[in-house]
Amino acid sequence: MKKNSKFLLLLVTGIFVFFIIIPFFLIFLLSIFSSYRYPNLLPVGFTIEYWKNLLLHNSLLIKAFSNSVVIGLAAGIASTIVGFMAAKSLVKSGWFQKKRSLLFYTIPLLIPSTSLFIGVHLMMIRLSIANSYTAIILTHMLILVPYATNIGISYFKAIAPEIKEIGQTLGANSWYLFRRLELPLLLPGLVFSVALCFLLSNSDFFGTFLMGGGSIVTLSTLLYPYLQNADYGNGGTVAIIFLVLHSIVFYLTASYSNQKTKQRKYLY
Amino acid sequence: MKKNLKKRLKQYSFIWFLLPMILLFGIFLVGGILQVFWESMGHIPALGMNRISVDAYVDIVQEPNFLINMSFSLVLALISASIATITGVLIAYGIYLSKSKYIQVLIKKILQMGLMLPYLYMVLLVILSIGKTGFLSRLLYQLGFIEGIKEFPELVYHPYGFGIILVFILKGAPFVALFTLNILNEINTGYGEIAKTLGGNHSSILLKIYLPFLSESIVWCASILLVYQIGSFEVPFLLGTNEPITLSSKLYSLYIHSDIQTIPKTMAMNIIILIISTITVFLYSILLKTIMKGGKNYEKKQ
Amino acid sequence: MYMKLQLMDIQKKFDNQFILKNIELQVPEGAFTTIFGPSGSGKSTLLKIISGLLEAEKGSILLDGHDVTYVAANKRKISHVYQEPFLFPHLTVEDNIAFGMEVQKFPKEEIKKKITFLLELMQLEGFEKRRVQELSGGQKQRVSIARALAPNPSLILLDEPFSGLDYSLREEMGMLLKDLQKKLNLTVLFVTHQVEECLRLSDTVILMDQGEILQIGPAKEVYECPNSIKSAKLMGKGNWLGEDFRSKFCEMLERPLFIRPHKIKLDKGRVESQFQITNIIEKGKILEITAFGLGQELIVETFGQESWSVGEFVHIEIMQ
Repeated sequence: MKKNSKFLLLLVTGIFVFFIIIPFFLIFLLSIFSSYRYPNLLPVGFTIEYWKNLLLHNSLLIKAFSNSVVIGLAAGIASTIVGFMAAKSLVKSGWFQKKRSLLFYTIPLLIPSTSLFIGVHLMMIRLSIANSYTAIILTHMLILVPYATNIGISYFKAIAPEIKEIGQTLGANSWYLFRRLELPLLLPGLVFSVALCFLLSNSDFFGTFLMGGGSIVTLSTLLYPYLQNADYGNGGTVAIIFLVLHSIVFYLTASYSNQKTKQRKYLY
Repeated sequence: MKKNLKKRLKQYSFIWFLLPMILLFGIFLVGGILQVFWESMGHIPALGMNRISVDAYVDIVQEPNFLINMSFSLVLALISASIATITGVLIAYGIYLSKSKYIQVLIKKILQMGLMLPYLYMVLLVILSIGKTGFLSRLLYQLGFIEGIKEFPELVYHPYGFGIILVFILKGAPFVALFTLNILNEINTGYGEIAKTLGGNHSSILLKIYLPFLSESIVWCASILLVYQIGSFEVPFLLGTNEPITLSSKLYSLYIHSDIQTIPKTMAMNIIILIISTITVFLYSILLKTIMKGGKNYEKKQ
Repeated sequence: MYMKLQLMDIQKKFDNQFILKNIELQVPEGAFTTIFGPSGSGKSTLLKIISGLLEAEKGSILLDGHDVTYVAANKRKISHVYQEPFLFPHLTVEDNIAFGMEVQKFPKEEIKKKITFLLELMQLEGFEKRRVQELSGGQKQRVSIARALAPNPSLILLDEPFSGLDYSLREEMGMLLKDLQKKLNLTVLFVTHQVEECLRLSDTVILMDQGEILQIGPAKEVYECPNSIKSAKLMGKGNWLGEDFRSKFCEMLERPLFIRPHKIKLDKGRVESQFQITNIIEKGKILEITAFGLGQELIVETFGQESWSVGEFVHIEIMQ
């Protein structure tokens, strides 16, 4: 068995290194070197033009960055609230055990996104909120709520009903129970859900592009034309900023939830 | 009686908590699809089109490349979803069995990294690694395996969609693996141990013990991947060739370049994709379930 | 005696099946009352109805003479301790105990004093700031009892609180609880399905089976003088004495018709002794001996100082 797991490690790391680490390193190099002629292994001609261009002359970047953060946070928080509310109701009623309920709350994920978003776009136009932040956030929520609900269900399930019953017999009303028992126990889940939704929201290109009507730029929509035109120098800089933002969010969440796992592991 | 009613209302009060979700889905998902449906039938009162017909559907189905494009979309999605699922499950099982905490944590971190990268990003990474002028090609040249750029095969913009499949797998496998691993960790290890004492080896334990437990979540993961891949236009758009083209890419270009005349056709295309994908996912999930249960019904652990 | 709690005609159904049928009982103040019954007899449901977590379909509940049937659980001042400690995992030991007092707005100094007092009683001095995950099973359950006692409940319900613990620990915790009950003059309603625990701790025993109360009385009485075969069987083996037996041991006539195995003494006998040993089972230190005579079987429990063999004739003596 030891051999097998070593093999697995080797395989996964190999794929990772080949498809992610090396190209990522290349992206970094491409953003600071101007020429990458075949068959050179590494690019040459050091330049800071791309970064200078992006940071100093490209006012879109700042806008795209702040838009990404604002939209990601808003969509993440809103989806988490909606998803956890649904999760509470599904767990309390016991419906979460039925397969139909899974089908119900993941239905947006079971519709091809291009089709889904075109329909949503028509609705946005009809409600005259197309080309707005609201439209982008609502569209993202459609995709994010299923994930938030799923996380919510697993956290609500982990709270034994007896915990709340004991709180009740000690004199707590439902608001107090929520504030002092339920909310603190859900907190790691809420943080995790907001973070995941933030990452997913930022990763979406089509919904953002369609609902923003091209006027609202995010890091994703900024990256796309560079890719289409094979402009890897400018694309690389955007991609690196993108990755740094995501890594920070990701590892902050991971370290936060690591601190909380002790609590989660305890059988309550 | 009045008290009873009040009690009843209180008992079912938690249903109100579902309301935001129902509103969100109802307005935008159901509303959107209905809107698309009406427009596909040529019923757009705002533009003075009031007739109802299925002409647009007939137009699309009669297009010479429709069948080819449809098969291309479905085969692409089915292949990549299946490979991603199998790879993901195997990785998850490997991590689960691995005794070394170090390996477990390391691979998990790698998978999380893969999950975190957006699809667009993965496209860029694939182009840079195995594109015609990518790193692999340069490496082979430097090592003397190939004589020039022409000898390196076109892997990314391959007409069979090799690059597209690769991106889908690289994104899909970590998703399946992490999801499966979560469920695996919830399962009592006792089942596997009992099976081991009865003389099962690792692959038979996976097939006979764990897969039936996991089948539901695996089917769910695989279905979501499949739908995503049918519905994704940006990856095929960036990595595909002009012919064949996936239905979603086609839909996208129809929608972006639509004029009043082509609206019904665009919307009909939309509905057709919706129907095809629903049928495909339905059949695919049934097939997967049958394969994994091996014809036997295992009680799910509660 | 002042009755702390009175239940009148309580009835509860799940899925059209009776869980509780016409339950009538009283719990005296300052006493240790135990509901004894096998699992599935409706004990836990009854406790939840008393604490207000479940609603009965019929009947009424009086607490301190007031009708609390429709009072919500958080207004009843009845604490509930479960089989598992169910401590609030995000709070420290101190905060767990303080929870009820904080809800009920006790003054800060009083909360502090009470925590110190309870921790001392529970032999958990110095544990105030500990995370509950760091405690052992017994310690957790002690914290959970302290948490239940903290807001001065008028009644404390314990639903098999020690059955998750090791045997030796269980005994120790039982003694601790009994001491506490006496010292603080608590009114305790305890649920168990273990005979020894029930006999050791209880003042009054309420015998329950399949949603019905079979017998209520002092522990010794319920154990030694069951009112029916059903009641007798719930608490273990015993002997129903036939006509012949009773006429032979005529001085025993006013004794009940039923006798527990450990109340019978065996003596080495002669052939004319009416009883002959038919079976011997070793149960650790105790021998369970079955003897036949006077037209009936008799089960006897005896410590194994003397050796017995099957077929041997024995004398019977009934202990007072």
